[in-house]
Amino acid sequence: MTQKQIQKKICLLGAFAVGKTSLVARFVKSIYSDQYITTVGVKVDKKTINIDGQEINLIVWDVAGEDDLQKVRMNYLSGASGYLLVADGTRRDTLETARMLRDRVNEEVGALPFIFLINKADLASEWEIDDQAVAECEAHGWTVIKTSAKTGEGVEEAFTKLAEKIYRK
Amino acid sequence: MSDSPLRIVPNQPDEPDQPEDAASTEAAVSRDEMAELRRLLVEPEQVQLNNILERLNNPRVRTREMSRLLSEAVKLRASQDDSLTEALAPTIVTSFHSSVKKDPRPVAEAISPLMGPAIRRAISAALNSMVQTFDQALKHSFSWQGLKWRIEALSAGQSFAEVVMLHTLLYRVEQVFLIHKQSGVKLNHVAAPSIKTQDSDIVSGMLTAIQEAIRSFSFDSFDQTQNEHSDMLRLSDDLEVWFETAPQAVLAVVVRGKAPESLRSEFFAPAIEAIQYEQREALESFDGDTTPFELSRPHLESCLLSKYEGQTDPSKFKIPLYVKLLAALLLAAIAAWAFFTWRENRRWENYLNTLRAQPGVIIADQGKRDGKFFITGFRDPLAADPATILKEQTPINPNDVVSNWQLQKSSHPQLALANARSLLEPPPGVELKLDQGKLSAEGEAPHQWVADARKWARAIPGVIEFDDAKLIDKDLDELRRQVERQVVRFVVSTDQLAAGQNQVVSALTDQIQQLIALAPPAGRAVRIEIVGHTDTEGDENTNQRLSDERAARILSMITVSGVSKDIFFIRGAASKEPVRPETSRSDKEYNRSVSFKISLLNPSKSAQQLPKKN
Repeated sequence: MTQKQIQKKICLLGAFAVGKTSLVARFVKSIYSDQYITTVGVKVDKKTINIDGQEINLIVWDVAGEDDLQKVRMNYLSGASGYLLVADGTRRDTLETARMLRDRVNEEVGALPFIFLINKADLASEWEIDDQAVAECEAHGWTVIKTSAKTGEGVEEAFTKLAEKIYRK
Repeated sequence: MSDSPLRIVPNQPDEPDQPEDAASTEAAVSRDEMAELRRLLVEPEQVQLNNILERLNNPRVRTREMSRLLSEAVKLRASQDDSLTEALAPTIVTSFHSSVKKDPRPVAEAISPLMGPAIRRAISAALNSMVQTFDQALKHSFSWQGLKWRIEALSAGQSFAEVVMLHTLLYRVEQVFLIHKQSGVKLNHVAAPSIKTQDSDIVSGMLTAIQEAIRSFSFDSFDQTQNEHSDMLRLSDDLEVWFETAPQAVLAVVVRGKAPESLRSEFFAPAIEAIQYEQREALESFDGDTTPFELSRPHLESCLLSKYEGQTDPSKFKIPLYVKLLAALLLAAIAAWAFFTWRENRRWENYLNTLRAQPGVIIADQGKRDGKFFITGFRDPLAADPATILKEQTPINPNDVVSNWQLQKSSHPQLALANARSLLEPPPGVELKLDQGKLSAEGEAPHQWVADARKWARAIPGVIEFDDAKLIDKDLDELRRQVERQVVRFVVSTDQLAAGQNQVVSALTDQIQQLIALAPPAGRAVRIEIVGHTDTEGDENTNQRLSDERAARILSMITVSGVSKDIFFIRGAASKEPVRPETSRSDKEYNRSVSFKISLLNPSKSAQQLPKKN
């Protein structure tokens, strides 16, 4: 019997410069130059992973980071099956941005499976997000994974976990 | 379930082993009552139960009932999950294999209505594409533009046809994406042949994102009412993406060149509308599985349109004037070249024919090499000079001909005769003729020439035989006449020589010896007849004897000096053949004599010519 072709759209959300694009770059091979993301505010890539013997094409929408000047366009989440929420371990304010973004998603798009990534695990000594903060997130039922785009730590796991959450929900 | 029919056995009360007495009668009455009671209580249920048993135990009834339910049951189960499909699949696949193996025709017949048009369509598309490519390439093969494109194709590593198509392109739909409107996920994608595509999944997402961005900008800024659907995206000067939107799907059409707006209403909109209509359920329940949207492929392919310059009316294609002029010049040059070549060859052939007609000229090889004619062969020194013929009798430039002639005596009849004349140098009065290898000489010639001619004639090429029957050796003939003019006179009535006749015989003998010596080199044999004579006095018998004796007398005198007798014949003529008419005494003296008749015979004919020896 022919295997199904499954395509799932996921998004990467987070504050400005938390390393989302680097995380994607770790995970996929992109076909676009970076000028697209600055122009359009999103960069789309693809990664095929296997869950329970089923191949799933993750269409990864790397949405431009949220900062004081630019808000993340929730339109980009339309039709997404889940998202990766990314914060920078060395900047505590990015955790707040992540919480705020998650609330906006719930409000404007609806509850979606997500994984919370705290990036820059390679710079552990400079971290402002402490274990207590992490524990608080987990207490809210968040799946938290520490990642490093530099070393690749946790990246594959993060995408795979999200894919599993989406596929097995 | 077991096949053995079910049976329901009525409950039987335990019957105690009692003696038959009055109590038993009472018991019997009680049983009847119980039976009656039971009948009253359970009979309707009993009947129903029996009916149920009948339905369960009768396979025909069960089959009939199941047939009523089967299709509904299948539908119900298929809507619940895939287990029915999974359960049936192996059986269906096996049955299909088995059926095809047994007889493939029913399957072939069943799918032919589907396959036929698909195959025809594929072949037609391939042919159209090929013809179009060929047509375009051909049109532009002979222009400066074409030359430039050829260079471009070489430097870009593309085929010439591809470059031509790109330049003559009015428009071409290169790719068509069917995109899930909400998520931007690619549902299906088709591309024109030979188009290099990026990952269509990513491109679909990007197109959606870009469209979304444009829509947001428009929405954010001033243009909120118009352009609700940003329906076109210009990627570069000649590359655009056209969007056609349906409630749940978007058609993104990548167009190169300037396509007419009418394509939207004629092709793109109908395509997306058809897909939206036909796959509404799949679109509504879309959860990432794009497999069902393979069905949309024909609609997408119907949007792969293209148009090239001049494609509409090939008859309007005109060959540029300079191409015509060039072609005319080329044709004229070819015609001129053909004419000059033909004329040159004809002249050469004429020259060859002239040479072939020349006696003593043999052509061994000829032809053309490195732009020049060449000829090799043999020629007799006496034959006409081929170089002179070339120069004087043909318009061919002698510098264009490489000749190589070997000198060789020819046996050609004309040349053989000329050679004979040249070699033998016949004296005036002698005529040479050649006929089929036989060289004939006629006339008078000195002895030495006759002897030389006989010796050399057969050494001349082309001369097989030398005929000198009509050739007269002047010296030999003169000697003959001298001898024949003389007589040897005798004393009256005797065979005694008259006074002073011994010297005459001596001189005659010398002359005869000369004759005998000269004759063989001239091809002659000498025969001498010695004839004795008498005067008319006396009786004829005596004269006959006397004339015989006189002839014999001279023969013996001549041969005594060693001359062979074989060449002589003697005859007595008495007075019948007088040397002179007897009118005087002096005449009588001359008739008392011996005379000579000499024959110079051709040896081959001597047998016929010679008189028989006595």
